[in-house]
Amino acid sequence: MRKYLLFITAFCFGIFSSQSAKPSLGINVVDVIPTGNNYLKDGVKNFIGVGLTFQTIFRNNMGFGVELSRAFSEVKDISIYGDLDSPQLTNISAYFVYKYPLTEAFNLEGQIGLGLLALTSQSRYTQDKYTENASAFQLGSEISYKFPKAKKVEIYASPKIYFFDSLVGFQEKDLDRYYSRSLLLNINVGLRLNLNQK
Amino acid sequence: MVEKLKINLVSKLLPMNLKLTLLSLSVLLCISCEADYVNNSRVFVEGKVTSQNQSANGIPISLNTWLYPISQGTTKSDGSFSLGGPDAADEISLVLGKKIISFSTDSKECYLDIDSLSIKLPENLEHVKFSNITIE
Repeated sequence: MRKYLLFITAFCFGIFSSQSAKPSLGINVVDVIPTGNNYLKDGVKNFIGVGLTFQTIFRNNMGFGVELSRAFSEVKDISIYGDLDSPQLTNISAYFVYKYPLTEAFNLEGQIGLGLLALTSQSRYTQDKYTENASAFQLGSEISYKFPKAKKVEIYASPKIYFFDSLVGFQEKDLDRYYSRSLLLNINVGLRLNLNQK
Repeated sequence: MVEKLKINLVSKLLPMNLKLTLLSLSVLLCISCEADYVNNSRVFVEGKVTSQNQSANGIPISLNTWLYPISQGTTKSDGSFSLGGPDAADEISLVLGKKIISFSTDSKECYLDIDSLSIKLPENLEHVKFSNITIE
């Protein structure tokens, strides 16, 4: 974990130093809504949490981003999800970005990427935690507004779809699909700081 | 002379052995006391409860390790139930809290507990389906 963080910070510094790139740092509120027919939709409530994004645009409006977020929820149905408490969803993902300028102030963005998720639940009976690891393919879009008087600051709203696929497995196909796959609608609303903007 | 030596050796080794056994016992106890969850593994049990002299609707039913429950629910109006939960590194049993007369399942390793109030499930269970559980 430390190695990865070091790598990321080193990478960030590398990008800061280059002149043409447009790096930005964002902080946002996350709302994760499980949809479809699966155990997350039936077993837990919506997740709410916070996220950090680092995004940089290179030439031709293309770039990439890294997102870290953690969201918290409650168990809705014990018989489906299990007798567990306060599940939390941790997400680390990386994605490619295409940023399309609509007007001077408004920007539209498309994202495609991959994420690693960990769904960790506490227990009322023991100190031990229960974790389900998952990978997620993600498709996202974003609309952002740059303040004309303070071009460093941008507000954005970004709905994304996560195709959640966990390591949990069952031999029976329907059961396997029900307990390991989910479609997560991820809504991010936040504030972004354009670091190289003058 | 040799015997004396032997006795000496034994008397010297015994307290050490005692300590060792005590230590290993306590370690073993500590390990066996914990019924930890098994990450990235889930269990699912479903079936139907029928009763001889009462309605099978709304009977509390749960999946338990010997320390704590991993899933809890109640039976539906037709007596059917489904329970899902995290896997635990311990023997898991289906607890009904009512006297079980008989049951039928596709898994061979299930057996009735001594008190007839619960069914012990197989060690490496993943999915068990009970076609019928008859209670008093």
